[in-house]
Amino acid sequence: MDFIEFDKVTKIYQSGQTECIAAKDVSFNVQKGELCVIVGASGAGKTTILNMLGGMDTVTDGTITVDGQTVSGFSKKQLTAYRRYDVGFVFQFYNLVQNLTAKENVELASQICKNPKDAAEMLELVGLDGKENSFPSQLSGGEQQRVAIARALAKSPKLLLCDEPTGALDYKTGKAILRLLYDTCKNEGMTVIIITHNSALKPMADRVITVKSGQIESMTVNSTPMPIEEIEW
Amino acid sequence: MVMKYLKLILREIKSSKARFLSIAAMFALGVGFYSGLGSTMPVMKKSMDRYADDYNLYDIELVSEYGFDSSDADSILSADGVKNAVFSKSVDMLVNEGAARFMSVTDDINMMRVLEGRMPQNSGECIIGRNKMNGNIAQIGDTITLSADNSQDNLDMFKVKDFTVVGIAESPMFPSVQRGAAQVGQGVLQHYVYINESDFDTDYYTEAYIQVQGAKELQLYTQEYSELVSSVSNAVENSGIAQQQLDRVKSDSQSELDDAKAEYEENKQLAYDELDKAKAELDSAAAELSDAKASISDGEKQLANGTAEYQTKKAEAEQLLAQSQAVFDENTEKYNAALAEFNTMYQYLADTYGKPAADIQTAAAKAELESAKEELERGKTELEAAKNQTQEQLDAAAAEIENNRALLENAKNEYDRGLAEYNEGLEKYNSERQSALDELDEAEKEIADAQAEIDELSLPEIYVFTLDDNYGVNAFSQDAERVNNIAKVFPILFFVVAALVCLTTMTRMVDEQRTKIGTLSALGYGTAAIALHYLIYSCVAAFAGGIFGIALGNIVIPLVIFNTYTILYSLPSIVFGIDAIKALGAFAAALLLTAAVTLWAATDSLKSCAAQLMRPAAPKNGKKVILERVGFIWRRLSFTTKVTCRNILRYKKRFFMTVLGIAGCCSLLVTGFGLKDSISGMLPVQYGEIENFDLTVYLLEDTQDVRDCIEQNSDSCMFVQNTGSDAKSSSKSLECTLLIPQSSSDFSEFIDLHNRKTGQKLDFLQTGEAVIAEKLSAKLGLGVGDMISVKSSDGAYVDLTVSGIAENYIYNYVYMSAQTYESVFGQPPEYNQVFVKTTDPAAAGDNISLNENVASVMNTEDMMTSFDDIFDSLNGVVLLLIISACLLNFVVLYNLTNINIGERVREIATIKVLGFYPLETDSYIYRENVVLTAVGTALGLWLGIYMHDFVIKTAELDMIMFTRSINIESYIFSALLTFVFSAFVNLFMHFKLSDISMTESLKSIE
Repeated sequence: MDFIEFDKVTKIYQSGQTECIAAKDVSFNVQKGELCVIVGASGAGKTTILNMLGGMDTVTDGTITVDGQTVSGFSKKQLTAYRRYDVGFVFQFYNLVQNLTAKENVELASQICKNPKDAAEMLELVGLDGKENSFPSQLSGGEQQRVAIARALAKSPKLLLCDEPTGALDYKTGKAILRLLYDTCKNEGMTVIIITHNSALKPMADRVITVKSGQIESMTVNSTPMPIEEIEW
Repeated sequence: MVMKYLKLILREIKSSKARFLSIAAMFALGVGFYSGLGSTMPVMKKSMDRYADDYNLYDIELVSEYGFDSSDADSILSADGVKNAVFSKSVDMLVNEGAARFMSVTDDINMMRVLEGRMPQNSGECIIGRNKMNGNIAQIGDTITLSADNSQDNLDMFKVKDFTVVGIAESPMFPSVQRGAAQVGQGVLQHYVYINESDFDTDYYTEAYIQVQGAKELQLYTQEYSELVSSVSNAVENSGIAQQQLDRVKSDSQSELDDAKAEYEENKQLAYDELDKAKAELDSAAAELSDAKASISDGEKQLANGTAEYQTKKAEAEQLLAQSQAVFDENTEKYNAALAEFNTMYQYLADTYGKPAADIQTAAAKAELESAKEELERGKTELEAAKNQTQEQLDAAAAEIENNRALLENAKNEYDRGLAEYNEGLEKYNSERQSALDELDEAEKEIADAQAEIDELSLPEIYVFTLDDNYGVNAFSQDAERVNNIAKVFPILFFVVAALVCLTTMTRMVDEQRTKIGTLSALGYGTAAIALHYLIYSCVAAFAGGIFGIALGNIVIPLVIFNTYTILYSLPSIVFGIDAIKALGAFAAALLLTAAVTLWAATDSLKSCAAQLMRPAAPKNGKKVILERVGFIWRRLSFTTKVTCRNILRYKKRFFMTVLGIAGCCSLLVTGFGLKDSISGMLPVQYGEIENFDLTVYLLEDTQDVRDCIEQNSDSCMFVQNTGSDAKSSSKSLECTLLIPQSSSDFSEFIDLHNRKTGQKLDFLQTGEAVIAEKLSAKLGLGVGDMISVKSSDGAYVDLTVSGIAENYIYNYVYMSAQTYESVFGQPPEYNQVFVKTTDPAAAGDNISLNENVASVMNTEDMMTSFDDIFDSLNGVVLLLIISACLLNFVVLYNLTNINIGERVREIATIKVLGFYPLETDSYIYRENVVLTAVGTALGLWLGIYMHDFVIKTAELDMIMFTRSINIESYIFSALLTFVFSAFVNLFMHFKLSDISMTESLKSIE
């Protein structure tokens, strides 16, 4: 059985008289422990897919199954629990709480889940040892994104969702973050989904899903992913 | 350009309703409260003015020593500025229900507002003034009877003593439920009654009421009005009315005296005539008496003569009889000798011749003898007859004499009686004459005195009163001023908070629109143009709020306060009006404040160049808080607590503002509840802790009889003198009440004199010292050891040393011992009140009030009830404070939470994505609110103490001190209510929080 399965998922946004079809008959699957890249241009519908997968938005039609659970049928409360225990998020703009130190930002997530990992360990894992007590404003963009990844990992989620994780970072830092995500996927056996408009990232993924105009254009499985260091864009 | 701008702003407003509304609401509150409270005094004063105008209330009242006569009207009306004048009769009388003023109904001036029934038309009818405080004196159809306790002089002023109530009305002369002073009873006027003038039995009027030309057009209580009225009252005083009254009274009195003089002369003549007549009668009696006397002495003489004659006659007769007797005796002897010779011869012859011879021999002799004997017998009979005749004659004479003597005796007696009568008459005549003369002398002297009095008559004292001297009209204006004092403080609080709300809101708005500002700036818009946009936005909000506030505030606030005061005053209707200067001032202040605050908020952003603005603003940096340096505490805090601590200290402006807003709300609540505590709290303390007795008996006269009666009906009692007076210090003066107990030693059982702050018991046994009530001490600025001047009954001030300041809430007492009173005032106290302790106040009160020397008996419990009613009126003010507190709290908290959420949408979306349940999300935000509410509440409770203190000091009356303390319950209620309001706002914001979409977390930073 597939770890993640989208079956003809459709999302229609209704704003007044006009309907906007954000996703139409989206079907794909992802295996456990895979690093999957969902790629597409701006407005292609990748964020819609991420929102639905992450339990932040409901589907209009179709089913989403994650690890045997039918997420598309969840109530609001179940969705919150799903986000809380099963999903880790990494945002384009890190979304750290400015008023909390790096460690506290990690704790913000870890204090609400069942089997949290130690915040300090997580920060060490993402290579931020010694910066636990720094505030976000005292950290570089890359460092902030590392904190965000640590925050996501501290919950020991089943699934790590990353929305343009390198979008606000420079080339080098972006590469380092991707490396971290890759390592996490491989070392921790975590299923990682990266959403990006940058097709150059395709080679590093186990699975590449291309989205266009709210529909899946193609899905390819890459049996020999290329190390990130070798990818150039 | 302008249109475009307006369109832009309208769109802006539409898209940010909450923001616009919160600025508008804050300024509506600020401006509304300021101008609403500010216009309350004018509204109250205008309402009184309208009442006075509608019912033609007098402007000037004249009272003359000589009273008025209808002929005085001319000189009053001739004075410059007098529009109209009427005369009325009035006198304060005791009726069963208390002291009432009886007045004659007047035309045109001082018209009545008839509430029920009608005006009196016939003799013996009356219309009564409504009494909201003590209940009406009677109902329609009832009869009011003048009490027999009234002085005869007063009773004589009425033709009718019983009046049937035909109507209930209100007179503009008595706008307050308190009617001022009365000349009878306890000195407090409780009722007023209007009757027909013809039911008075006096030929003079007691007052004249004057309306001033042009006074109606001016507003009562204004400088212009006072000046106009005082100029007219001067004119009236100088109109010669006094001289005219003097002339009139003089000529009236003179003619009266002349009549009396004529009558006197007549009476004098009459008296003299009568005396003369009596004298003549006496004289004729005397003449008669002397006649009688003469005839008596004649009679006496005659009687003496008669007696002498009788004696002579008697002697003569006796002599004659004796001669006859002697002749007879001689004859008898001769006979007897002849007989004896015969017998001897006979014997001899018989012896010698024998008898017959002898008989013969002697026959001749014997015959001779026999005839002699016969002759003798005849002589004897003759003598006897003569004797008898003489005796008879003598007896008759003697009887006559006796008769005459008796007659004379009678005459004598009669004469004596006549003499005695005459002497008596003479004496009576003399004394009567004397008294008549004395009386005449006296009358003459009286006439002379009266003449002297008339000659000495001087100009009458004419007292001029204006409406300033009218108890109710004046008290109402003072109450209005008091409201105005309160109006000066509260709105400032609202303004400060409004400015802060505006500042944070506009700062937030400018922050949110950074990119837009940057874009506009990059497109070449000038700084001024961009700033103008925000300026117009906030000013439109302030403008709209201000207009709304002025409109609503000027209706609701005066209405609430006016209605509150209608419990104490009888004004028919409220006259709305806006104090334009205040309203415009508040309006201008609001706009200026908004503009200043907006410019300040926008300046920061506008200083930056376009390029900087286009980039996202650096989020406000996280900072370590001081608490973190105290590691052992910080480590123990839960994670969320730490977050809360950081957030609270992160936004200082907001922190300050929230705390201030909540503190304002809480302090308003404390003030409101505290006001109620202070007012209702003073009664139990005054009548339970300080004054410890059940009845107060008001005496008409302090007699042994009444003392016995009271002592019998009480467990213990204390006689005191209670008199109104004035007290003054070097700078101020205040009405006070002198209280002088008869006995100082057990006075403390009745009144517990102690200092409120120290709790120390006070005594006042030293001569020349006095204990004064706390309010007096505060108002006059007197401390222990200072001198207080107290007015004595003759108007002079005497000095006393203040030996203590006693806790006291009602009436400004000056307590002193009887010895002190006597030594300082130079006269012993006259006890006119008795404090009575008893186990059954109702029964004892009934018994005591039956005594004729008792004017009335007041039950302490009843007194508390009647005070309670007055204080209920303040509930409206308390409610107003609580409502405004709610509004303030709501607007501030709503606005701040709104901003807080607005600024942290991303953060909130993120934690939602992280899987925070709705309640966790709420508490993540609200924990700060709770802490801020707690801090604000604490500050508010503290500020409330001062605000409460200020408010009660401005609101309390001169004769009353409210308790300064606030009950612990009030603090608790205030705090609880503040939290409840906060919770309510938070509940409101919960929906806003749950509406935040998680997709916000994914959006790029604008």
